[in-house]
Amino acid sequence: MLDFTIPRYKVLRDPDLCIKCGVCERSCANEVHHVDMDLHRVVAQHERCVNCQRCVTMCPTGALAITNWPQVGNGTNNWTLQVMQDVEKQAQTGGVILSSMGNPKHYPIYWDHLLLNASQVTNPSIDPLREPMETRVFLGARPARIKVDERSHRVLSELPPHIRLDVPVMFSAMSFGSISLNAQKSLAIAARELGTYFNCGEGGLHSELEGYGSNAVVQVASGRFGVNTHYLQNSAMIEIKIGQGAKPGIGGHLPGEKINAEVSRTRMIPQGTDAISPAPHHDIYSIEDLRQLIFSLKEATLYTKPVAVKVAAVHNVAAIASGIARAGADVIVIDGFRGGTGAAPQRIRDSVGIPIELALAATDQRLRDEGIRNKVSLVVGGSIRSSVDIVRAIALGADACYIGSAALIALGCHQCQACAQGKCNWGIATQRADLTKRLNPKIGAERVVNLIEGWNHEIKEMMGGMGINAIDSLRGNRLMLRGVDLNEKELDILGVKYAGEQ
Amino acid sequence: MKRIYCLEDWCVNCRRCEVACKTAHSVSHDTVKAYLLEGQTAFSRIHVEGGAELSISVNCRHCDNPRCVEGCISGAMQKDPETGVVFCDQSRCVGCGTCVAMCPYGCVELHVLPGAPGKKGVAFKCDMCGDGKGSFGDPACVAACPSGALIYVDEEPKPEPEPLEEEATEEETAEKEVLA
Amino acid sequence: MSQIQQNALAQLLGLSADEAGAKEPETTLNLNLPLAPEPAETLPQFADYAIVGNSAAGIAAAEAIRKQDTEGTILMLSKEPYLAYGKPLISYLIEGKTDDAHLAYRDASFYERANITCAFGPECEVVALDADQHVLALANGVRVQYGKCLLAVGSTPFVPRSIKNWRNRENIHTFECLDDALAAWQDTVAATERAHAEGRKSRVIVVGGGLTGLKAAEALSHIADEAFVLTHGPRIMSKILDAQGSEQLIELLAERGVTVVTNTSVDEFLGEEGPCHEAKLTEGSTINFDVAIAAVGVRPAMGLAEQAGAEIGKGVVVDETLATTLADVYAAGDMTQVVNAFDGSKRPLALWTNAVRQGAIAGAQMAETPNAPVYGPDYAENIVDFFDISVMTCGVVNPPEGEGFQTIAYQGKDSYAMFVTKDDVLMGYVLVNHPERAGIYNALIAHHVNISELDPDMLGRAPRNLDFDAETRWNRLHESYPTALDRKGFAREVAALDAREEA
Repeated sequence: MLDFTIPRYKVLRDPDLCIKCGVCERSCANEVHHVDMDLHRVVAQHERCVNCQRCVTMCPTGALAITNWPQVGNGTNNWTLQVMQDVEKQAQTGGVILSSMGNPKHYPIYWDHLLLNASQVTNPSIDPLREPMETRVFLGARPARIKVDERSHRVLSELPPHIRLDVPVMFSAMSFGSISLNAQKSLAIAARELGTYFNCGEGGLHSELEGYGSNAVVQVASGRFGVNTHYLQNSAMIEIKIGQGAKPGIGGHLPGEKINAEVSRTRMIPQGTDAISPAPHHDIYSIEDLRQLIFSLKEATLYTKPVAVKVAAVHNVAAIASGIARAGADVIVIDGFRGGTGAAPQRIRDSVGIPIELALAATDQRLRDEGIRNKVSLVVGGSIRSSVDIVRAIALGADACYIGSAALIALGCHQCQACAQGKCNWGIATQRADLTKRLNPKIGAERVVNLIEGWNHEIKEMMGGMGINAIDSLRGNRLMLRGVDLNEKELDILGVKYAGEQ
Repeated sequence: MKRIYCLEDWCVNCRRCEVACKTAHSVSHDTVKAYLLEGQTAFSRIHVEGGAELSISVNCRHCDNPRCVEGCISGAMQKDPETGVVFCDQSRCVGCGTCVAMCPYGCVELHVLPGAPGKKGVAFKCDMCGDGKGSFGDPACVAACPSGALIYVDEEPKPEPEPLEEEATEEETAEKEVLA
Repeated sequence: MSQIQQNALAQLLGLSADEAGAKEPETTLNLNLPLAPEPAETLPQFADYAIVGNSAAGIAAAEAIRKQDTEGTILMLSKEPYLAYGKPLISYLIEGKTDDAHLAYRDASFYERANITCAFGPECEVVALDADQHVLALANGVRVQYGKCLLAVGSTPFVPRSIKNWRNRENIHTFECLDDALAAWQDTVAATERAHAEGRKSRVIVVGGGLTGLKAAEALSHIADEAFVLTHGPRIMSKILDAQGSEQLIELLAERGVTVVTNTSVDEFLGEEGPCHEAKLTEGSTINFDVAIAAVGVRPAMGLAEQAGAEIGKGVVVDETLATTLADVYAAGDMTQVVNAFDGSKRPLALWTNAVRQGAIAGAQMAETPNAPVYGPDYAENIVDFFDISVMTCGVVNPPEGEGFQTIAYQGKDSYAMFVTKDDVLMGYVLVNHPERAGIYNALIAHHVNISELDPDMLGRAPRNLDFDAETRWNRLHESYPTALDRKGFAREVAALDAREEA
């Protein structure tokens, strides 16, 4: 059958700069480049390029750039080239189009419509370089009231379990299998250094990361991969994964060829078998069922660890969150529709779920209205891109944020959306030994630590500007936000005033 | 001394070290010029062996007892007593090749420079550029390594030889008695 | 006799005349030689260390002594009036690969920095050694008392009696030291000028197909129009080359203007004194020549040691500390007898590398350096180059039959590689124009690596460090690796912390 699809990208090589050293050829697992000794130049198979930009970064002379394939569509806004290519691809293969990472479509990004406040005259701003500034966060249920011995300054009431975050950021769930051990290890080392947590995802905790248990959030998902008593106990927090922002309502499918010896041991499934995460938990069909699982996990860990429940941001997320809080969860995680994934059907990724900003605001408001906000902590994720997104999220009511994509970008991810092919040139979304060794956790961790430390400095600066010296004082403080370019309904849901309103 | 080590767990066979080395040892210090104009005179002194699955970048180990220096008939190959760097004074090298056959790691090469009498080569090897050679920073190969496979670290300190026991002077003996 | 060899002989006998390509010689040698300063009027009466010989072994010994003993007095004696120079450089000097400014083995201030008293020149030749009295007698009558003495006087050329009338002939030279080389050079330049004035080609013949002879021929071929090497055996460099390697090298040399005539030597130089221009060959014919080099062989210079009563074998007998049988007298370099690591045979190992190693060990031992290295059985590693040809040989190259040796050879267009193994362990090799990473073969020999466990192709291509197993590879390439780091470059403390938490 004649292939109607055309390349997506074109490799631009500056012949004046190319020295034919072959670094690009050896750097590309997609085998795009080739040093052709007959032609005495480097040639490219453009159709294989996924625009991961590894070659661009590695080229010693900066001779490379990737551009879009110059083919134009017919000019309509409806049948664009990309839409037609999708049709042609499916006409050719009859399959579901798979893609990776987060929703790339032009939906509104509400973060970019929320502006922060700053102190002027009537209230002083704070200089974070001179004054103490608190970005520490505790996650877990807060009792309605506590008893304190005034003399010894000791809390007398028994407190529910908490985890302490020195920065209001955690690394969101990315399983071993979907990402490499070196990527997980980078995050684990960074989490330890930063005083925060990485989430091992639903694929179990690799034996090499055993030592990082006290910085691990371990996941219990519908496939229950790698879950055993030791796994639950060797953790800081347990997270029940109901849904994921990139593919709400969809399970996971790690093909058998990716289940190598290491993945097999960690997931506790036979080597070479498909790892199928069902769409639902087959033992959870109600809030009551969820409560059973939450308390089973608490029982297994002697009530020493908070239990989180992660759901995708969907239409009735606020009501679901209320149920989760009432089911006994200590932390609710909401994952927005721009959240990333290793692999998802493209239509699902691009069309299911709602923006995290609206979901967060609605949930926080609902829990407050019902008087149960103190029973749970609220963590949000799904394309948190910078420190200011964190500040906005906390002002909208979040306790902390999960970052996935941003952490991966720090490790080298260039968002090429080809994770599902398993040939990640940056050594992240692959299990191929020759590729995973490209990511040295020593360097990876250093980059992630740099990123979060930079963000934390920025958070302190922004808080200081608002005259706030503890992140607890920012939480749910929507007066610190003003909307621009938003309609009344949006402002209403977000619970913020329009810019210029007093 | 600080030494360059290759950790093969992280070597990804990109060979950027070779490019960086060649550039660092060119006259222009420009990668494009080093390759396009100085191909006959600029040579990489580091070489990556192997392929994608297993590769290792090898350059001079700057041995404590360098056999290349031992074998050099002209005195061109020397070990700097201060820095520990083994280097070749190419003006004295006659290209006999003894060092090539003496180096247990294959890290010395002969290259024929244009216009060399009798088409004879001279020895090329790692001269520990960067702060090993007095300028600031990591050697070029280490700086170019994308995955931390080449590291430039202080070597394990050599154990001090047991000091010879000297007879204590009278004063010291007296002092010890006082302390006792 | 092969075609090449027949042609070579025919050429030598003048049967094939080739008139083209007469070379323009340099007219005068205007050299600035690394002359040593005149010895002091009064030499010290006593030296803690007396080093006889100012070449590879002597310098290495002096450096080793100074590493340990910065106080003791060192006296170096040599009959040559030069600062130490690389003896093998003499041929490179003639062919212009190096020059007089770069002859010196160490820079000019070396002796002063190392606080060494020099006594260089013919009058400082040591003529007698009295080991009981610890006294050296010099040619000029001075007697020097020493604490410890190192004999490092190398070897002297040797011409068998079967070659008649070669002594004291003005145009017949040896090729061992700088003065020999300068004389041969000057003579060849003059002879070539004469020959050209007479409208004929100049011709140098070298008697002896060993390393020295071939290097002399290579050097002088740059001046004379014709250079011939006569060797009585069927091969050149017969101790370090196998038959095929020898043939390959002869062919390559012929292409570069040095003609080797095998199975042929000089029987007699005609006439008894004065210049000689005719020689009778062993096969009966008579040939003409302008300059001849006698380079049949060398013998360890053992006279001094022998006269003093030291035990002598094929060389001066030394123990593993390189001490001779005389009290406080050491010997190092070409003059010592070395036990062969492969077959246990005892003979001298006249190699620069070996002299440096022995000198360094002898010096360390003389200065009583703690944990000083010792010298054990050794083997030859020969690295030679002729023109742009590289020749490397090591260990066993002509294995005796029936002792389980195996050979494997690879013949290329202009290259040749031959390996000798025994019980899957590499024992020796011959490499002609096959230099890439050759030192790795030496490492295989030195470490007795079982090559059957390595890549089976490795002998057919340039060897790699990757050919060693992972553990050996790590140990080889990570000398002095910091113990604070693990093999992935992570700090061990962190790893230990993880392990603790795990526990």
